[in-house]
Amino acid sequence: MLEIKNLWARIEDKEILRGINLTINKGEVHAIMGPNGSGKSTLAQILAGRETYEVTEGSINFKGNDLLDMDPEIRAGEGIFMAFQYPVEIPGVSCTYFLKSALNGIRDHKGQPPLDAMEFLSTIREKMDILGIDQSLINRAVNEGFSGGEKKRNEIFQMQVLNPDLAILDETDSGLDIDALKVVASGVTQFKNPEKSVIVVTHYQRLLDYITPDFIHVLYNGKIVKSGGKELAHKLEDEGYDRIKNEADSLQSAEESTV
Amino acid sequence: MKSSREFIDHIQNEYDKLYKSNSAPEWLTNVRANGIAKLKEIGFPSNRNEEWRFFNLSSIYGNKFAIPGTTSNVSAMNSQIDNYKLNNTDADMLVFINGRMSEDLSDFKTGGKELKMGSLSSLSAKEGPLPFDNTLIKHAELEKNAFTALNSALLTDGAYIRIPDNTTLTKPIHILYLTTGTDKVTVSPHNLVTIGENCHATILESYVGDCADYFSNSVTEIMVDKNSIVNHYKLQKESDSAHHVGTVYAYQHQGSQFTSCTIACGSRVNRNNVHVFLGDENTECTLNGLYLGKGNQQIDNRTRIDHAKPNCRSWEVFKGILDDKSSGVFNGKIYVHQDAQKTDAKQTNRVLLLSDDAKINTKPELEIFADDVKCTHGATIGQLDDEAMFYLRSRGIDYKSAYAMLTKAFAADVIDGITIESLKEEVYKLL
Ligand SMILES: Nc1ncnc2c1ncn2[C@@H]1O[C@H](COP(=O)(O)OP(=O)(O)OP(=O)(O)O)[C@@H](O)[C@H]1O
Ligand SMILES: [Mg+2]
Repeated sequence: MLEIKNLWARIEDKEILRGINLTINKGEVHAIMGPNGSGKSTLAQILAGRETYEVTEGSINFKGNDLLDMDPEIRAGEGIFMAFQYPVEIPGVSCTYFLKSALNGIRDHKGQPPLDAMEFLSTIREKMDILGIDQSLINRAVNEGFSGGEKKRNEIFQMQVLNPDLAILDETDSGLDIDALKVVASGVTQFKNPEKSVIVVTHYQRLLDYITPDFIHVLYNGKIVKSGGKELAHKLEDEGYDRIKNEADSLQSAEESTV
Repeated sequence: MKSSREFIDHIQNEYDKLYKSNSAPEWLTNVRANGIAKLKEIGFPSNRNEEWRFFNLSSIYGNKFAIPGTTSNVSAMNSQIDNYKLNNTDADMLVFINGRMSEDLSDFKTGGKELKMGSLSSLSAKEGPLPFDNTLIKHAELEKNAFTALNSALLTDGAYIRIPDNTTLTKPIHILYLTTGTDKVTVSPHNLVTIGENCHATILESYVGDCADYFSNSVTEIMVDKNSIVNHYKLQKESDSAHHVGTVYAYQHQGSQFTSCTIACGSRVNRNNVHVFLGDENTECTLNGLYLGKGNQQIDNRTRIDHAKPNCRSWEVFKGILDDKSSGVFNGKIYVHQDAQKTDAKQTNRVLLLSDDAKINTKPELEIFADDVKCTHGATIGQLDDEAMFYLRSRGIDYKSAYAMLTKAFAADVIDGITIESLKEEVYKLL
């Protein structure tokens, strides 16, 4: 599904990603953890096509195609969806109108005819019920004045409607109360199937209790410094990042001294 | 800069021609004579004049615009006119070709004993009190404006609408000005709208053109009597290289509500003056505007709201979207007279600059002589939100659609206030 090779990225003079390697197969769930500022969101944004970041080296292959060559809307059409850590408020654009344009944009990319208003409404109605999204919420402008939890729920709702092949969830669990967390988790669980892959960026074990990841990666200083199975999350929760950081830092200085 | 003196000489020539050629009714001859006298007294402004600082005056002064002759074969223009009509909207149409009303192309049925709708030029002296006898144009502020004087000096025609008390118009009145042909012409439309007490009316004036270079210099006066509700729209879609100077002046009586929205997207050089005078207690005015600039277009908005009496409210929202090398000006004056206690006035100007070369000058001017008032103003200038663009695109919405979505969203509050559904749609399509 996704193959990232030696990915380096920067913004202006600041190097953020320093050689990421990551392969994700169909049906797999990968969790990415790591301290604040390590580059998790940067990676997520780059996968979705954010042009603010300059990719200086490496490649990303998605379903056999060069992802870095594609505009964000093409990536969405090809089946990538990224739930934003900080969903953007767009005053003046209603959720329904936005979502219908998005869905029809993706359908158009796939050579499918656009859905009319009725078809669209029946498509979203079902997903709204699952996620407990109120009609009044989607009549409002995109994310405008939404509470933190409503924003996150709305991201998962969009994911369900747009039905991508690869979903990247950037801290979708942050700021959710216990009930909302369950709702979001069940939204993701329903979405999961052997044809789809998920990347979950998170700081907490909580979400991973619901969505069992196949792999966990720790990102630190723009690099994946440790990968493991689901037990790694527990270990991190107990120990924190200190040990991993120290190991990575000493490795880094060793590398530098040999140069 | 071409001198304004040369331009005055040229205008005098045109005036003389008009004077000789035309058997105008006496009242019209008088209006013109007063206009030219006034113009010579005050002269045309230069850019040293603060009011005209940013306006490309030389592009007007440098031209020998002539008064167009009567257009022949007007009836052949029927299908062209259809393009400028509102979609699926029944309206009383007053159509003016090159500044003169065409009876053939116009189509207005709303009438009644005292209701008058038609052209100024067809009014004779005996038709009751002469409309210009107590015209608003005598208002001091308008008198200072050389272009208003010019409009009088070269006046040929305009819409004359008089709505008697207690009238609710069921359809909008659409006044359409088309400037057409190959000559470099100037037109001076003057619309005179008088609305009685307890009325409800909606008026749209639109300006379009299909000739390259011309100068349209319009004046619209609207008198709103007690407790009436009036919606006024002006759609300026002149041709790309035209010059348009337009002045709208409204006077409100007690308890009236006046809503105006000027939409400017045409012409290369555009001056948009809007002046509302809240002349009595408990009046309300909503003054909105949308200006869209592309290429080298220049749009200069000057608005003024006079709060003359206590307990009046005004809301003003102007939004500009400027692309390429276009430039805009917004200068909004709110003048609260000494008597106007409990005034509530709010002014906003928001501008979206879509290119690095687009420019805006925005300046609020509050002049407040009463002590118990609430007056706020605010201006924001911004670019298209990168993050929002990315959010939309990352969901599968292509660049062009995302762009349109955001510009529409930006202008939405102004456009959504338009009460004529088809006009609203038309304006959305401009974005
Ligand atoms: N637009 C930007 N301009 C400048 N620096 C940036 C920008 N985006 C990210 N960075 C920097 O890059 C680094 C990585 O940021 P990123 O948001 O990817 O971290 P993160 O791992 O998602 O952190 P968190 O867990 O706090 O969400 C940080 O030091 C951040 O300040
Ligand atoms: Mg982050």
